[in-house]
Parts: sequence; C-alpha cells; structure tokens
Amino acid sequence: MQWQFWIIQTLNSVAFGGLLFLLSSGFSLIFGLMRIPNLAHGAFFMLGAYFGYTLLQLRLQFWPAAIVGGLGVGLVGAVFERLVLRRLAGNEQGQVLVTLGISFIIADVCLLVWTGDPMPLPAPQALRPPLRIAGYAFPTYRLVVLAIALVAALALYLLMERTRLGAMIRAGVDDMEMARAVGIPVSRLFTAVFLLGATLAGIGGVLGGPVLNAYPGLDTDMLPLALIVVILGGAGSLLGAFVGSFIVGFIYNFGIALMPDLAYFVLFLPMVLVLVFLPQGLFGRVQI
Amino acid sequence: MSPALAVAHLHKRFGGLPATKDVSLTVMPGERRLIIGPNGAGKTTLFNLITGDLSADAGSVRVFGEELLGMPTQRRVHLGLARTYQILTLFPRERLVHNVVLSLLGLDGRRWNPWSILSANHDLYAAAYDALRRVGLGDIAERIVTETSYGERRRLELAMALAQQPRLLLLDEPLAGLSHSERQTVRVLLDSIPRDVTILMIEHDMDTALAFAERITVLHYGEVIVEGTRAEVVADPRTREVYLGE
Amino acid sequence: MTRAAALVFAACALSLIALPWLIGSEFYVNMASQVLIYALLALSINMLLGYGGMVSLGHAAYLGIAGYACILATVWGYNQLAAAIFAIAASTAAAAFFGLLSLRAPGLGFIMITLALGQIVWGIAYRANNLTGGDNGIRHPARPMPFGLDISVAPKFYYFTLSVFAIALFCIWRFSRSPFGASLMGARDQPRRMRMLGHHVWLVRWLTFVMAGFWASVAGVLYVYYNLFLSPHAISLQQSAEILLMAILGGASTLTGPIVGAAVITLVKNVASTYVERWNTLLGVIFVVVIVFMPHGLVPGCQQLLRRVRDTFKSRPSGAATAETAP
Repeated sequence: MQWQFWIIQTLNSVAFGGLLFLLSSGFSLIFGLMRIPNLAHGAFFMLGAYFGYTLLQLRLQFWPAAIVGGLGVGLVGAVFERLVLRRLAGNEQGQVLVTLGISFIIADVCLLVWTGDPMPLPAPQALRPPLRIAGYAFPTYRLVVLAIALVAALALYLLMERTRLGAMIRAGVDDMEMARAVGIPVSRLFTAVFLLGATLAGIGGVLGGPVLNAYPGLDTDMLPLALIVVILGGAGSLLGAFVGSFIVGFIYNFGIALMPDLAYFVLFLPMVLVLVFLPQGLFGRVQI
Repeated sequence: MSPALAVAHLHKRFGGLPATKDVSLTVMPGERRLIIGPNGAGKTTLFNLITGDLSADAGSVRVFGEELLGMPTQRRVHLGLARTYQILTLFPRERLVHNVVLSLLGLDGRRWNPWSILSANHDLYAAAYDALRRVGLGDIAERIVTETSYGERRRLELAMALAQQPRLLLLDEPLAGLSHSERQTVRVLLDSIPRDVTILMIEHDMDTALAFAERITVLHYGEVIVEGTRAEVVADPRTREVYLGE
Repeated sequence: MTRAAALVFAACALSLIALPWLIGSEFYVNMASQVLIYALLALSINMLLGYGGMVSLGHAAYLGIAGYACILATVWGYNQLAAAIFAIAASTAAAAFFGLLSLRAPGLGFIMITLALGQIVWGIAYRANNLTGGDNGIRHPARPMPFGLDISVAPKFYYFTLSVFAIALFCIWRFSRSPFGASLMGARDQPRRMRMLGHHVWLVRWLTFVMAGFWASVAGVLYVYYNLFLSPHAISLQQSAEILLMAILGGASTLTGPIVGAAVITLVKNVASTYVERWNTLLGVIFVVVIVFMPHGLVPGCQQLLRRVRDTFKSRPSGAATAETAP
C-alpha cells in the first residue's frame, strides 16, 4: 500500500539523517574548534566502512566491530593531526589543502586494499527481520541506527555541557585566544577533538555499511552532504548539525526516491536559500 | 552651520555586554575633538560604529547631514570619511608609495580598470609622492614597509588617510608607541592639517592631546560622562574620578 | 620587465612557437596542447588564489558546464561558433551565480561552499543520464572547426590552442598589473583596510570570480575540442584539486607559476601512470609535500635559488628578498 512506501522512505530518511549526524557532528566540532574544514572527513567515513567490512570478515560481532572500526579511523586521524596538521599551525589554508591531499591518499589506498567492488556489510542477524507493527513492516536495522544516533547526540551534548573536556572545547570555539590565555592545553585539545571527530565518522561508516555498503566513491558522496549540513546548520553548533542532518537526510533520500535525476539539485535549493538569507546557518555560532 | 558629525543615542551591545550606551555627540566642521577615557571605555567601538566596521543596535550617525547607519563602509569613505587604526593596518610587503597609491585608488574610478597598467598612471604616483613628502617620508617612498621603523609606519598610516582628502578624519591613537622625538614630528603634522578637515581623535598621550584638542568628550563604560571645552573638562571633578577612581 | 625576464620570455615564446618542429612526435605535440589547456585552467584559478587569496575547490565546474553546453549545443544542431559562444556564456553566467553564493562567507566558508557547489554540478552531470549521458559521458559529434579552421591535426590544434592561450595569458598579465588587480591584492592582504580606503571589496572579489570562471569556460571548450568527449570525471573534486595543485606547486604568487605547475603535473601524470598505478596516492602525497615543505611553489623557489647564485658570483651578500609580485 502507499503507506508502506512512505513509512519505508521516512525511516530511511531518518536513519540516513542519523548517519549524517555521526558524520557531520565530528566535522562541525573540528571546524568549530580548529577552524579547519576537514576535507578528509568523507574518507574517514569510508575508511570506517572498509574497516568494518574486514572486521566482520574476521568474525568479529557487529557492535564491537563498529567501535573498533571507529577507533581505528580515530587513530589514523590522530596520527595525521599530530604529524602533518600540527606542522602547519597558523596556516589555515595549508591545513585545509593538506586534508584534501590525505583524502586522496586514503581513498586510493582503500581502492588498493579492498578493490573496486562494493563490499556489503551484513547487518547483525537479530536485526534483519523487519519489525511488524499494525500490519506494516519497519526496517529494524534502520530504527536501531536512528536510536544510536540519538544516543550519540545525547552523549555529545552531555560531553559538551557537563564535562571539563566539553567546557574546554566550548571555550576554544568561542575564543581561542582567551582559551589559551587561561591555560587550556590547546594542542592536546586539537588532537583529542580530531580523534573524536574521526572516530565518530568511522563509527558512522560501519553503521552505514549495511545501508550504503562500502564502495569507492563513498567518500566523495558523503563529504558534500556533510558540508551542506554544516552550511545549513551552522558551523560549531551541535544542534545545528543535528537539525541539519535530518533535513538533509530527508531531502536527499526523498529526492533520490522520487526524482533520481535531480536529487543533487533538490539539495541545492535549501542550501542556496540558507546562504542568501542566513549566512550564519540556522544555528551558527562560528563566523565561517 | 550644520555639524560635521552628529551622533545621536547610539547603542551597541556585545551579547550581554553594553559597549556603547546612549552616546550622543556633535562635532562642528573644522573642530579638533578629543575622545578620552580609560581602557574599555568604548572609544574604539565608537569609531567602529562611525566607520561601519560594526553595526549599531540603535541610534543615528550623521556626517555632514547624511545618515550613515546601514551604509556599507566603503560608501561612507566616499562621503569623506577617513580613519587610522590603533593597530597598524598597512600593506607590509609593498612599497610605501604603493600603500598610498592604494589609498588614492579607493576614491578614483580607475580602480575598476582590469586592463590598464597601474604603474603607467603617473599622476597617481606623483600625488602619492606628494602625500609622502608632506609627512616627511618622501626620501624612503620606494622602501618596503617591513624595512621601515615603527614611527615611519605611523606616519605612513597618516599619509594614507590624508591622501584621501577627507572631510572627517578619525585618528585612533596616532601617537601610540612613538618615541619622544617622533611624537614631536607627528604633533607638528597634526597641527598642519588644514581646517577643512574635521578631526576626531582618540589619544592617551595627555600632553599632545590636550594641546591639540579644542573640545573633549570623556567616555566611561560606554557612556559620555563629561563633555566640553578643554578647560571645562580638565576642571571637572568627574573627569578626575573617571581616571583616578579606578 | 627586467632585461633578463624579457630574454627568458622571448626564449620561451620562440620555443613554444617552434615546438611542433622541435618535437617530431605527434604524441608529445598533443601533450603540449594538453599542458596549455591545463595551464589556462591553472591561470584562471590563480586569479582567485594567488591574487585574491580565495581557495576555490569547485573550479572544474566551469570547465564542465562549458564543455557539456558546447557538446549539447552542437548535438542540438547549432553551428560551432554559436555552440562555443553559448557554452562560454552559460558557464560564465553560472560563475556569476555561484560567485554570489560562495562569497556569502569569505575565507574557509568560501572553500566549503565552492566545494559543495562543484560536487553538486558533478552530481547532476553524473545522474542526469538523459542529458549528459551520466557516467558514460557524451561525445562531441563533429570535428571541431572553430572559425572554419580545421584543427584535427595535432600541430594545427596545438597552434590554435597556443593562440587562445597567448591571448588569455596577455589578458591575465594585464589584469595582474592593473589598478583592479592591485585592488584585489590589497583586499587579499587587508580587506578591512581596503574598505576603509573606499574599495568595494565584495564587488572586486565577485568580478574576479566571474573573470576566472570565464577563462575556465574557455579552457572547457578547448578541452572538449581536444578530447571530443566529456564525462563527469572532468568535473570531479579530483580535477578541481589537481588544478589547484598546479597553481600552488608552480607558485601562486607569480604569473608563470601556474603554467609551470600545469606542465609538471601533466607530465608527471602521463609519465607516472605508465609506471605507477596509484596516481591518486601520488597526487595526494605531492599535495602534502608541497604544502608542508614548499608552500611558495617552484617558481619563487627557483627565483630565490637564481638570486643566490647571482649574488655569489657578484660576491655581494644576499639582500632582503624583494616583495614584488614576479612577472
């Protein structure tokens, strides 16, 4: 029936929105604090998916695989931050370009290691059968992904508002000079945030695996979506990333389902409107 | 005679912090007005509101009768506004003469020309040399800014502002960081500015400022506390309170 | 220009003109044509980067829009000249529009918005199968004959491209020496100051964006004439990044830097791909290495080296480096 289609599409949209949140929250944090749009963020997501694939092949359970995969990507990110980004401190343009360079390397290495065929990541057994309520079938796994994204949003909120680390991050986002002046260990904070952002992207990649697969080009598919979320929602704002992710998730998903030829164009419109009327984004705190 | 500058009930908040509270002042053409006040009093903020670097929350700023609020900065400049900054904002990798040429171009239609060769515009360069000579930098016009002394750079900043032939000149601490002899040089320069330029100056160096100023406005916590002639302000007990009561 | 620079310029110009005689092989003459097309792209992006301080990561979009417009117009039956004009006009109009959007947020926001816009154009090209042939691309249906000239032979194509390139280089050279160029460079260094001097910083930047889009569009038409084919790969982020890298590698602060960068990258790409399969990794590594170790690029680096050599011969200590933007 018609309803079934809309239910499926809506749930696909919110689940995708959840994945986008995992992707763009990290991006927004890194940008808000370090003033670097991490152009390797799509590659981090993709790398997470590939790590997840391999870990699942090695018979690891799904949820541990998500965490280990995420942390693996986090580690790659942290190493990159310490070895390369730090050398370019103060050179914002250079830092952005270097993240682009790394994204190429990661993408190409993935192609080398995992070849060009799309790799499916099977969802955990228990979540494969659909949830049947009132005669309608709900895709269980996607509901779980949404739930995880909501939990992650809550966890990040608590991190930012209730912990010392979060306070330091917020201070850095608001006024870097002041944060340094009051003794916040800025370079360690940078590494920590980059690690956190990359890990979130990596976990998102694994969780997204059963929905999107792992394939070459996943990085360049996801990166502009993260950018649009941050442009829409405002950089440095977790709430903005949250709201923006679901808006973009809906538009992208329904766009692809209803007008596959014009999906990208449909994304374009809200972005243009926001840029014209609200250059700070819907919730922006950081002047881009 | 209509005022050169008429600020009325100007307000500006930064988040919860009121930086400018109901500030009003009137400066007549040709006047030399001094703005003083302790650090954080909102003097530079006031300048930023007049130039358009900041947008006001409420109030009005009129220059020679024209309302400025809502107008972008470069259009205000075309009405005859010029400014020097507390922290030098020059073009450090360029020659002194190029800095002044950029200043002259700002008001010249030729700045839109993407085809002609800039260095072929001899009249611009001649005017730039003149402007530099007037502040005593004629001999080093071809030097790059990074190879000049701080005092020379302050004079360059002044030259760039004067080259615009402004009607209203805002000077933000033009003597900051200068040695005694350099201050003398700049003092003479300021005195030599003709009366068709109205000057509004922020300055901490009291000797120079008081010698220069005809009328003084004292700001404190974003408000006008005292205003009047030099003699009146100096004698006013509130002035002393503002500075000593800290 | 100094005498030395004039001599170098004359030597380069002569070798470029005589190139098809100097290099017998058609393969290398074609590669030279390719280099010229990429050099034009790199020069156009450098109007934004080197002179304007703006990093655009979606510049390949203008190559793509012009390319697709040119092919489609030809397919739809328009004559070649009309198709080329339409292509350049359409792409420049797109640049005008995208410029309005991109300049809403200067600095890092500009980078992000140009990237997003470029990806959106790529996405449309990739998915609009009916119009663009999707991933398979589309062919230019006829032998290109600009102004009735037959350019299907390698040397003829080369001279045509060289002529267009020479005109573009002259225009961009004059741009860099013009009052407008000075205004742009001033806005790059001290935008607040420039506004306070009366310059309309936003408008200067937007006009530059449109001009850069124009030259990229011209390169797009040349690209299509050369390849007789266009696929979304030409508009990919990778392509935009390569163009940017050419400008940075060669030296964004100079006029000739992007040309040198285009030559180096194109040659390395063509040579490397016979030995190395992982061109993308190499590209990424070059990116990182150049930005970390050689941020000013090859041309300023070589100029510095030459100056030191000259000074050693004249046994004079090296003076402070001049800050002039080199020819």
